[in-house]
Amino acid sequence: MIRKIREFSRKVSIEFKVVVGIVLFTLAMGSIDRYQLSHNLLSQFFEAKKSKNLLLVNMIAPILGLNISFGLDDANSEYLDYIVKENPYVTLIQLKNTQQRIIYENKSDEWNPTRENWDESAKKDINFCDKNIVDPSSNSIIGSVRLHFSDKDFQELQSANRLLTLNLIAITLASLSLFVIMIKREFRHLKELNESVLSYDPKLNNFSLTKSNRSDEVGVIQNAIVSMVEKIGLYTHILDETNLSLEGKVVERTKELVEANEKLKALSVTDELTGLANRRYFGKYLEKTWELAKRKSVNVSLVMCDIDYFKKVNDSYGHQMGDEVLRRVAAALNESLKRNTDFVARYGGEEFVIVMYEGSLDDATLLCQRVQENLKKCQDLAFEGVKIDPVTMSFGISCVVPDKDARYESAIKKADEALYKAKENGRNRIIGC
Amino acid sequence: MLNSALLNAANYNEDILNIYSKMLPRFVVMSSQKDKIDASIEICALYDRLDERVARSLGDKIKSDYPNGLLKYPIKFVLSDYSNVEACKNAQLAFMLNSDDEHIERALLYLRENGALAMSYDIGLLEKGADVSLFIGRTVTPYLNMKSISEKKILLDNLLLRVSKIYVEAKK
Repeated sequence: MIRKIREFSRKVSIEFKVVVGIVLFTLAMGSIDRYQLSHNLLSQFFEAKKSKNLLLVNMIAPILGLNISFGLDDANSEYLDYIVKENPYVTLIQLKNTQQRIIYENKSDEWNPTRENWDESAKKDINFCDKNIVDPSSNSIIGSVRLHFSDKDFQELQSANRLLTLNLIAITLASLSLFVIMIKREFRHLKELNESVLSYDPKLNNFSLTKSNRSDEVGVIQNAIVSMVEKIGLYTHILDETNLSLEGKVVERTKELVEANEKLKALSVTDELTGLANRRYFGKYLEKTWELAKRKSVNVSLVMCDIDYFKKVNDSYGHQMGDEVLRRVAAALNESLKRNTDFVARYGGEEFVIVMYEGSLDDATLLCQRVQENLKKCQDLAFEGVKIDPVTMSFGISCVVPDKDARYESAIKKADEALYKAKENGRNRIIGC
Repeated sequence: MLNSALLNAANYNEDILNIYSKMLPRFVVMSSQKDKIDASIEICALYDRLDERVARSLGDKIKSDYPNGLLKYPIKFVLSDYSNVEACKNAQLAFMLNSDDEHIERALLYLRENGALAMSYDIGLLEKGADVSLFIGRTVTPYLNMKSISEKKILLDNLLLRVSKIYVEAKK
């Protein structure tokens, strides 16, 4: 139960809580005040009335006693008539002798013993006063007097009290209404502030409120929020500009990085001068091809070729020219490859190597011949106005079907030995084994 | 002589005498005359010979009203002719029936000198110096001659003053 009340309390807005609290507090305070006031008023009224009635009875009783003792009954009658006349709230006076015989009675129009309020008043010992009449000389009881006082003054007091209560309630309600309206207005302002803050988007810069002239808490909060929003707007702008700049830089750097990576990748497998695969990549390629051929039991032809008298080119035309020769030889080698599975790489210096998967010795020989043909075609070419002496190449071929224990290094060695033989036999030759 | 007595007796109202019979002892105990009581409340009735029967009748009424006296005191009722006013020497109160002016004045003088309260049947005697009488109007009310009472230095109970009217002497 308490949990549910707590949950409900959390759902109810502070505004509602404040208003309900104020209403309850006001009603409680008003009720206590009214109760206290009424209680005091009625107590004082009853005490005053009782005293007043007792005073009257105590005043008339000795006189009545003396008159009775003197035998002045007429004087008593006249005196009591006078008392009734001067005290309009006296509704009944009865004077009795010791035998309880009524010797005087005066009833006003208001006297109505059947009315309920007489009984109620009688219970309170306020409206009825009974007193024995004592002989002032002998102190013996010589009669009794009974007075009844009108309840009219009590009714008037109650009526005035009710009127006062109603007036107080009306004033309280009016004041409360004004207060509630004021509270609601204040909370409306806070709600607007809340909505503005919630709908605020720094990118759109759509905060509509401006600084307030109010000096109360709402004004302070609004001004603080407005200042904060201004700072957010400024920092957002700076951040956007920085982001834009950073994004451009990131794109540029990424592009550069991609290019560098590609270049690095190419450099790692390519010979920079000739554009052919380098020796490292050749090793990896041959290893893979060798393993494949081993599995498939097919031929692998390996051609080791070397430019004849290349040192002389370098010595005669310089290294730049040598490089140019190397580039053209590489191009000639590349052009000579017909199959997709044929692979050429620069092995080192002026030495090149060709791998032919599933290539027979004849296929390799034909390839070498095509290379020789292509080399002849570029003999007329010149470099920077200098005519180059024609170059030839020597070829050593090893063709094997790799078995289980065969290693590719042995194939390289054989091709190298064949190349050596070609060089020994006069160069520009093709030796296969 | 008899005719005169009957005529005078007829001047006294029985009801008024009844009131006086009740009032007389009470005026003694409700005034400073109470201090002068020795053993009994002594009330003296002054009358002309013609009113003797009235005086005796008053005495009987007092005896009847106060058979056991008042408070702790017995009541002594003294009858005295105006010619023997000295008989009222010990009385705290003297009740004066009607008489001629000479008797009245002499009695009042004696009572003044003796400090006794002088109560008269005839209210007209207040003018001559009597202290208390009864005013017979729509109702019967005690009338007090405060001048003579204060001259005798007699103090009356406050209650007596409240039920009584004060006689104001007419300017001559």
